[in-house]
Amino acid sequence: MPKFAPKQSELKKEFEEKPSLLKGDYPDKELFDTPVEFRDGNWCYPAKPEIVEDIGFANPRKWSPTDEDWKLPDGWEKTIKDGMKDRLERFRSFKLFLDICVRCGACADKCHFFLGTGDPKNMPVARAELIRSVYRNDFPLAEKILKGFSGARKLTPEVIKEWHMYFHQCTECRRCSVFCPFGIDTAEITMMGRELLHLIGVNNNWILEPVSNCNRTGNHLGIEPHTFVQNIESLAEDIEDLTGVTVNPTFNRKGAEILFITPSGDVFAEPGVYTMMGYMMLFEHIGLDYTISTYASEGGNFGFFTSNEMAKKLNAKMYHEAERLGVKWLLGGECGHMWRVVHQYMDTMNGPADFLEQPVSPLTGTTFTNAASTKMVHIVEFTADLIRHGKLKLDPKRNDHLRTTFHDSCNIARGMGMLEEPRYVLNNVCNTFHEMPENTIREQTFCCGSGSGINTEEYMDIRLRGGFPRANAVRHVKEKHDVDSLVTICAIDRATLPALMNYWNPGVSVYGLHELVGNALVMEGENKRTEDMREDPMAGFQDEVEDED
Amino acid sequence: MNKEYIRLIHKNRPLVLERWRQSVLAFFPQRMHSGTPLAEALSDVLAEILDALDESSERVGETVNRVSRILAVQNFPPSKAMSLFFELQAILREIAPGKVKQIHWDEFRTDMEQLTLQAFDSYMVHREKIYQLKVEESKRQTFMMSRRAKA
Ligand code: SF4
Ligand code: SF4
Repeated sequence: MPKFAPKQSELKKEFEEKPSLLKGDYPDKELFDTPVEFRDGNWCYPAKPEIVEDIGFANPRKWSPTDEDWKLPDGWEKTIKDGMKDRLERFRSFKLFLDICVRCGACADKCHFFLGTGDPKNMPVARAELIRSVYRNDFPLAEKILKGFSGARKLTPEVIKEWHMYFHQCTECRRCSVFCPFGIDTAEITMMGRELLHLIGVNNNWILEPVSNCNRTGNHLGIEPHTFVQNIESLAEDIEDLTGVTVNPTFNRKGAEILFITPSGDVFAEPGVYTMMGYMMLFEHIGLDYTISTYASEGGNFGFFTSNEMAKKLNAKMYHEAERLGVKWLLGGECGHMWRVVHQYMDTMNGPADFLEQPVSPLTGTTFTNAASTKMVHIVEFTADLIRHGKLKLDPKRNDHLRTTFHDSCNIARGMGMLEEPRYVLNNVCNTFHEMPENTIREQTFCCGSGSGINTEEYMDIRLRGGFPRANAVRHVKEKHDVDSLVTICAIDRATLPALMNYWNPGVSVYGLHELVGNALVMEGENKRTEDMREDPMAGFQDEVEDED
Repeated sequence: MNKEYIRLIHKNRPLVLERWRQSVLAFFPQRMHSGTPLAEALSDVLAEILDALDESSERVGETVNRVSRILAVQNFPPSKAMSLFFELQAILREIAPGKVKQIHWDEFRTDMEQLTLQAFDSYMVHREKIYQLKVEESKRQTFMMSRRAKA
């Protein structure tokens, strides 16, 4: 049973005190009778027809969620039902999760979207019910088993609209699963819901455009190899300007020991680029034999937000490239969903990667047994191991201008169980670190509110609502400990938390963990450091310079 | 000096606050459940507003700002959000003893209208801010591209 699942007595108490579906506080009828209303700020732009065509997905057309008629393809009901039947057979988890929920309600108030919107359809149990109610209607045996629960309903265009709305108000964060006595993972139901929607062309451009770009050029933004190289070289120049140290990243170099892959946001977006600078400084510092690929130039995998097949296809390029370059193993940058895919799916999707070696740190000799099968190591584990073996020269005082807290990204914390390593690294590179409240971190972390491909600007209102529980926890440490820096290890966090902070907690900036590592690294032959990666003054170091003057 | 309506509010503070809280939670299409972080934040700020009524206008402004920040991203129309202080008037009239003089009610109404206008300004500032966030976010996404263009 999951660690945080309530005990029977607690469940009883929860059930008596809190509103629940089972008690009829949100009767199904009333729940599903509330019509969905799409208005500005609560829907994402649908995918452009040429993009849908490009990746061979269904029903390319111009449409909008605000249209009355969504131009669903002929026979769409059958497509959905067949699609559901197929997935019920292929994915045991899907069938199990639909069948075993007892609607105890323990998950109800655990979802950040429910907590931030108050909309009962955002209770995980209700979200699953969106599909379960159709399943019950169309699969007679299931109905027999679930007899006693009301709410079987027919598949209508209204149902599809509801699915579209509420499967995009789930960031697949899995917080609910931590509290479910049966371990039901509503994220997996959302994944299935989205897969089914794609079968009839109900989609989101912010997800499909990166998928199509990635499919074609290897990264989300569609950056071509020469530009990709230019960007990284330009960041290397920044490092030289700042520290006087020359770093020499190599590209597509055959025979390198390690292939390094990071989300492309680190190569083109602010503040991700500072994290990229941190990686490069670290690799220079330890003399790592690594290369970067301009083809497998994306760690992220938006295919994961569409279908298993697309996730598999986009993931495969990592292995293909590793094989082509003849590296020994893969090192991966700070990302969230990339690690969910690597940790939970890569091995069975595209593995085993027998042509690679079990990863061993060339500096410490540590064997990463946890990556024995995927052959891919998380950079935070790698760095934590370096620090543990005293291989890094660090001056945490160089981050004294920052008062930090740490946001566990869902996929790293809940998806792969990495809780201590980032804290260990953070504590070694800075002097002021305060945890947010217990029920908002580690396994219980609150999502940024923008994960799973909904981090588009037209969706800002929903994102600010869904991100409220996280922002509220940051506010707590801001008020209590004057925290002004939110450290993360996920590219989507780095992209989206600045807006969330700016709205709810102005004055709090967002950093990548390896940006702070880069600040703290004492590099051989460096100039006197007075500024951090962003050219902000480091506390206490400016004075020294002035004194010397 | 304390205004009469403020004295009345403070005298009946728990009741006023609870009813005000309930009526604001009912703004949400599906009535916000009171245990959520959002409901808690709202309750806190409503209490702060009540406490700030006889403090400096700066302090009142701060609390009005905080409540507007919350209201400006919710799934209900601005007209509803801005009825916040009308609700407070109705609540106090309901629970106050009948013999309060008209002059005090007039004063109350004027002050509440003033706060509503202030809240409206702040609400608009926050809506503007959301648009600004979108622009800033797009800029951050194309950071390297624009850097190259400028170089
Ligand atoms: S998903 Fe789990 S926690 Fe939620 S209602 Fe069902 S059984 Fe209970
Ligand atoms: S996975 Fe996360 S977003 Fe989805 S229902 Fe569960 S708690 Fe909510």
